[in-house]
Amino acid sequence: MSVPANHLFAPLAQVRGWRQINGPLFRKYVALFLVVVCIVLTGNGLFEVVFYYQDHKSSLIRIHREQAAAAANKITQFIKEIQSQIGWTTQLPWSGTTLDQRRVDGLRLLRQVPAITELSQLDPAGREQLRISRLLIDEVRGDTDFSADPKFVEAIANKAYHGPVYFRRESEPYMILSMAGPGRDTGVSVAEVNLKLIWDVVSQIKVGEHGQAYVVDAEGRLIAHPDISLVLRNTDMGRLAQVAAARALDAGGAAEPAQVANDIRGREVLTTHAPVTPLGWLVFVELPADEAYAPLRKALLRSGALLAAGLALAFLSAVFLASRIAVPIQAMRAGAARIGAGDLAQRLSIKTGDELEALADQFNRMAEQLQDSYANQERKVDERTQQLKLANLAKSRFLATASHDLRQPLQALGLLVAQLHGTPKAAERKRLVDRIDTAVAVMNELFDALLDISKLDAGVLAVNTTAFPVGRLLERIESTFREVTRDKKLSFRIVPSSVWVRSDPLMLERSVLNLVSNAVRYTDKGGVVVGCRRRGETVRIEIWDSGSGIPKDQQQNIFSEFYRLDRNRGGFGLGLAIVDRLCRLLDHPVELTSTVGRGSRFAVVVPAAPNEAEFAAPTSSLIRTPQDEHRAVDVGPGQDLAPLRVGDRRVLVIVIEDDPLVLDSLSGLLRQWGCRVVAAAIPGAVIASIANEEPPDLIICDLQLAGGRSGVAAIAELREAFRATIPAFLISGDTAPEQLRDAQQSGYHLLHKPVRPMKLRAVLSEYLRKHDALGAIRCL
Amino acid sequence: MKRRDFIAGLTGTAIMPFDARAQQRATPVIGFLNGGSSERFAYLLPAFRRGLSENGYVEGRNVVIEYRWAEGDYGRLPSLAGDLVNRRVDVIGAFGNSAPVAKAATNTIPIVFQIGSEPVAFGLVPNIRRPGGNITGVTNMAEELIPKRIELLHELLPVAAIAALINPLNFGAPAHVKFAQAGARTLGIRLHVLNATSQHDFDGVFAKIDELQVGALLICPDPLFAGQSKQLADLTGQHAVPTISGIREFVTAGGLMYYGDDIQELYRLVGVYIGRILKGENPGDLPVVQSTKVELVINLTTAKALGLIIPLVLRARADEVIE
Repeated sequence: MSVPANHLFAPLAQVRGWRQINGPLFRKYVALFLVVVCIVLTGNGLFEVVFYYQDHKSSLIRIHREQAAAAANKITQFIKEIQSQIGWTTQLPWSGTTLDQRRVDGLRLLRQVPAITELSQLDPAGREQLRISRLLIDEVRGDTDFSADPKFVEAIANKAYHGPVYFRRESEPYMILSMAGPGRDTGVSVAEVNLKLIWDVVSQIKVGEHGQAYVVDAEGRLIAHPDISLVLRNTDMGRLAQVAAARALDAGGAAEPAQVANDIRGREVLTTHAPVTPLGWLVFVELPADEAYAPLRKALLRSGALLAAGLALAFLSAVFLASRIAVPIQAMRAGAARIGAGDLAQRLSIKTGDELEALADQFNRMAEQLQDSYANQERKVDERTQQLKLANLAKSRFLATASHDLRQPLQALGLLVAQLHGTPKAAERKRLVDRIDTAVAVMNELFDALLDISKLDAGVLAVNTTAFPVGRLLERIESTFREVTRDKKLSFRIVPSSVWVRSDPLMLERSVLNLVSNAVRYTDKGGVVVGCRRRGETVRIEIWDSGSGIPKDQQQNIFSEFYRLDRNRGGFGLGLAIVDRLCRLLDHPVELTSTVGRGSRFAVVVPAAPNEAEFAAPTSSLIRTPQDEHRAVDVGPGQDLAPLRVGDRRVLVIVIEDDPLVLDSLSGLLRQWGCRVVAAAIPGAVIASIANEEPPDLIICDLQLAGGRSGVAAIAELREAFRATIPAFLISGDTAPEQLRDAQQSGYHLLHKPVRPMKLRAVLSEYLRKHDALGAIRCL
Repeated sequence: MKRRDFIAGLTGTAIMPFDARAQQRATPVIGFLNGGSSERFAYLLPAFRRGLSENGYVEGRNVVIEYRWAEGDYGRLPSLAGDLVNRRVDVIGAFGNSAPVAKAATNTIPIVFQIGSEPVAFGLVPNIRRPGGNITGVTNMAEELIPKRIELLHELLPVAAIAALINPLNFGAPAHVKFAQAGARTLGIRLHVLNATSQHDFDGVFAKIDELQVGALLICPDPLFAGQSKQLADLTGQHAVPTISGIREFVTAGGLMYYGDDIQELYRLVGVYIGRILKGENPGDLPVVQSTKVELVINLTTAKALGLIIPLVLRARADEVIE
């Protein structure tokens, strides 16, 4: 707003809370309101005044015109009356009356008409025979000849004559009126009429407070006026505009009679006139303009006062109304600012009962929701943090236990190797190496189990659901645990079943295997039974044991990683954890019933499949099949193996590995198998050393190389270098889920460290066999 | 812009009433100078006051009147006039033969005279229309009617000689004589001029009338005569002299005839003029007013007493008869 508007509001600054509401919105509304009211009132006032002025003026003029006309009429009547009276004296023929009679008649006329100061009678020849006067001595038989005088001539011609107004003794208006009788022989009576008596007529006309009427003759000289002195002064009114205009009008001119002009004293007046026909006089009625417009000024004053009052009221109303809007809006703005600043507990309290209150309520609701969501966020964050903490703890525990469990065989390993250093005898050496093998196998098992769990957690395992007979699974279980249970002197019964189920055969088999393994481990006497029970759409694979049982409070815990009910029984505590994850993945509920001292029953609920459905051979999965495991166990180390060959030549293998120990041992093993090995930590070195030779037959590369280099990239580099799609596979010490996913995506086979030699050999053979495009590979 | 006009209008309306009030600051004083008798002329004062009231002046309320009567002794007039002048009255009304004295007494204080003569001829004002100076007034045609009065007398009683009663101390006396002589000459009768300067002279005058055996008497206009109308009327009755006067009171007191204009009207007109001068008008701008009304009053009782029959022409003329 402009500065003047601010000044307008300055006095209000004293009001408390003024600063709070005096914003641009407030000022805008107040100003708008004021302007509107001002326009309305001013417009109204102006209209009123303008129209009032017009109406008033025209009504005044109308009134005055009537007054003038009435006065003119009265004057006309006055003159006519005198004429009629004079007419009495010319009724009879001149010869029919004596002079004395005429004299008496004349005197009676004088008495009858005070205005006549002198009466003379002319005989039919125009000679004055009688003159009677109020002032002068009468004259009888004067015989003065007036036969050529207009007062005689015109009277004879028109029956009546009126002369011009003249002034006697310089100051008294007089007029000659003469009348002739009906016949030519009646003579003419001539009367000298004192016009001062017309003054009565004029002075009786009431024109407002200070207005007046006056009469001017045909020449424009004043003949009657309320102020007799003006008349006696023989004032010439012809100078006045209105008189000139009226005379022009009378004379047939087209000039519009002036309505506002100056009077004889120079004051501005409202003027109208009426003619006194046929004398050619004009009666003017004039009202001072001041008086005429006084009501107008009053109206103006009224309008002004109304305007002022209206503006004041409008201002107050505007301030009030605008503040009713501005205050809530300001409150909301402040509230919003506070919320924006972070004070989410802020609530607005606006009780105006209108849209603003509704808006404020919405605002509050929004703030509430913000607050809730914040709290929720925080809670969620807390929860997550808590979860993370627990997860972290679990991981730490996991690591601790894992490392703890690892230490045992490692410890044994160390001791056994130490013993080997002592170069004992061959039989002792064999025993030690067997024990070393066992220790290594234990460690491998642990790592395998860890890898399984990692794979499951990474979600890299694909569920290949198919329908298959559960009997197959049961057979394998039976063959796997036949010996162990015999050794422990436990009864082991598998109830045969012809039921078909729909599940992933490998995963299901693994789960059942783990469950049975546990059952066997924890049962010292009695036995283990495995059977299937068909229940409608589902099949329950149940594993009964008469083992030590699981207390109720441990029944949840046993599915956790590394949780062992009884440490003395061995195992890593990972079996049930694997079962739990597998069955979650397969969406098969796992049930447990157990009584301490009596035994336990585990059940896996599997959906049934219609019988005789096609049995699809299981596709390869990353998970170790039980076959693999046992094969690995069966194939003992230390057997001499035939060297690997491609055609006639030795297989050239490139090994990229940043861990020198692994690099060395791997290279050594491969060489033992008859391969030529070029090993390095980085592909560049390998390229350099065999640049001029034929491309290698295989690349074995670590998934994660030193310096964050990717094994996949290294393989690509080597392939590029030799311009051949050399078969390759990855080995990795990482069991982290992301690495597993990366490896899966890369498409290369991934072996996990520690790689069992036999596994390695098997994979190698497989690769070499498959790629016989390079030449016939024979395993000699 | 509109505000300015509005304020101007507002101020304008506020100012207007002030003008009227500003003028009446001090109570004005009127000097009433009269050569006649306070007792006899008292009846004229209401007319005077009426004239004042036409301009809003009321004696005792907003104006003060200082009365100075010479009681018929014209010699006292100069000192009385001087007294008024010394009192610094705002305006002087000069009645009853006091006009010339008042004029001589002051050049500055406005004077409104009442005379029966022609003012220019007597040097009171240079002209009728715009006197200029500080003097104006009203006049009747008292002396102009002298010939007419003689004519009326003559009509009633065609005597050969009449007497005219004149107060030589009246400043208009020479004009009275002139008019009387002219009238008598026109009618072809003899004129005897008789003087009286005070009421003590009246007996002598009537004795002379008896001696001269004049048939009728004309009383010329004079404040003394006007004041002594009753006495004169009685005398005319006693001596059986048909008399005409220009004073109305004469015929009502028993005199035979009266022809003239109403003095009361004159006094009223003086009052009007004085009011206007007090309001601020310049006396020099006010023309001399001339009275217009003349009337003939005949006392029929007196006529009968005198054994006179009023002829028709006279009856026709008479505006009023007293029976």
